[in-house]
Amino acid sequence: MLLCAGGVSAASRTASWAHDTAVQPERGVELEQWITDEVEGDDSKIKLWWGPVVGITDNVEAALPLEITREQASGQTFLDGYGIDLRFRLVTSDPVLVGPFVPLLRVSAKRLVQDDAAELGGSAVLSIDATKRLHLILEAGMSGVTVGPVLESQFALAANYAVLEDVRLGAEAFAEQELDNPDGTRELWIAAGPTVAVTHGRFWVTLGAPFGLTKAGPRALPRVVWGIAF
Amino acid sequence: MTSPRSASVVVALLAPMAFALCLALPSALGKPATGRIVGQLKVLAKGEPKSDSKGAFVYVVGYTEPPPRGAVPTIRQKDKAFDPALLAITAGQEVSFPNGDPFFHNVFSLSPARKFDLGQFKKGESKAKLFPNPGVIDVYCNIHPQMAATILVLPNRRFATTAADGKFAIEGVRAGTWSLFAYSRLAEKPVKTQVSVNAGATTEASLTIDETRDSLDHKNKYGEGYRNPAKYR
Repeated sequence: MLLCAGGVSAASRTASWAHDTAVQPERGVELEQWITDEVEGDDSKIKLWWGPVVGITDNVEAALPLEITREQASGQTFLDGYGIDLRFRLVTSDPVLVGPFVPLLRVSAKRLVQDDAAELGGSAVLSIDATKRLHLILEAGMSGVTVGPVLESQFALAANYAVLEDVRLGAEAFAEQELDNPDGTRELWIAAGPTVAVTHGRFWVTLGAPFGLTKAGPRALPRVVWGIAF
Repeated sequence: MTSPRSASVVVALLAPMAFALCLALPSALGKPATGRIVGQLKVLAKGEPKSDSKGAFVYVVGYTEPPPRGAVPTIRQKDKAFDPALLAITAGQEVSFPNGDPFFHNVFSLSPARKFDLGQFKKGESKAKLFPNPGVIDVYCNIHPQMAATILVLPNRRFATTAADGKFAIEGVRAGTWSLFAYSRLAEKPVKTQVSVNAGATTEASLTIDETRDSLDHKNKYGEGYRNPAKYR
């Protein structure tokens, strides 16, 4: 991942759904935005995740996102939620001292405004620099919503390859499995697709185009994630 | 069968020999034989002799030594400058970067030999970095473009800085034929000569380096030009 960084601290995500393990240096600030288009049947929802990401220490960063949803069918745009996302990188960020395996723990707390509820979640991420150019990500997590309640687990797997110093091509797959749901369903949702990640100085952008592989869930989920450091 | 008497005779004979061997071993197996290198570095500024040659480094390359133990070398950040602006260390040493200014500083390097970013830190705070491999590392502040320093990470402890008249002395150089380099921040690259060092002897060397660069312009940590240097505080 550091291979694609133009500077020394571009905390780029090299996958659009799986979290990555680069974090901001202490007091580093980055503005991050995700735009997701959830296409389900003839309807679609456009979801915006927007917020600053701040380096608390060289190993811990906090994101403070604001989430907005636009429903195409109803024409409504509303504040979906806001919260905090903490990421703990468990090894040094020093590229000379760090080994190929980088573990990261993530915990998040979010207020769901429309449902008047809270969502708590977390995941464990492991990135592997298999070679100087090949970067792998494994993520497993869980989240629960206080209304319902709904409990689900998430899994993601991503691989990307630096075709140029600042350009990575790859693929990712992710799944969500409902564990507890008031309506008794235990839906499994799996999606997979290609990714492109580009870094340009203080700016990075990652595009993903996963398609739903199961009956449940959206048919397509194109997502654009970008960040700009200050 | 050996009698107790003959055994004591053998011990009496072997003990002085063992003692003599113990005395001789450190010089035979311990420190390698060393000599010293003295000389003068002539520093030019675009071909013209400089009146002050102080602050350049002269160093021996050809063998490795472990880093010295003890105090951690320091580059202070004070009055929007790194002090010293040129530091030589041995591979495996750490360098600390204390901030002595009443405002934030950053320390980063984009040098291929050691890329790093220490983030931003305020007055009184200090961060350190380990330099495990030899190389030339240019260090900057992402907030203040006028701040620049260079760390020479050398393979051994045989280096010296030059006096105002360019003279230098390097002690404890292992006997053998080595490359002797001189480095100045405003020169395009180090200059080199060969030296043969004999045990217990002094070898003389002279080098000339030309400072052809006017300034040490650099990019910020994102590889961009600093936007408006005059506005940075």
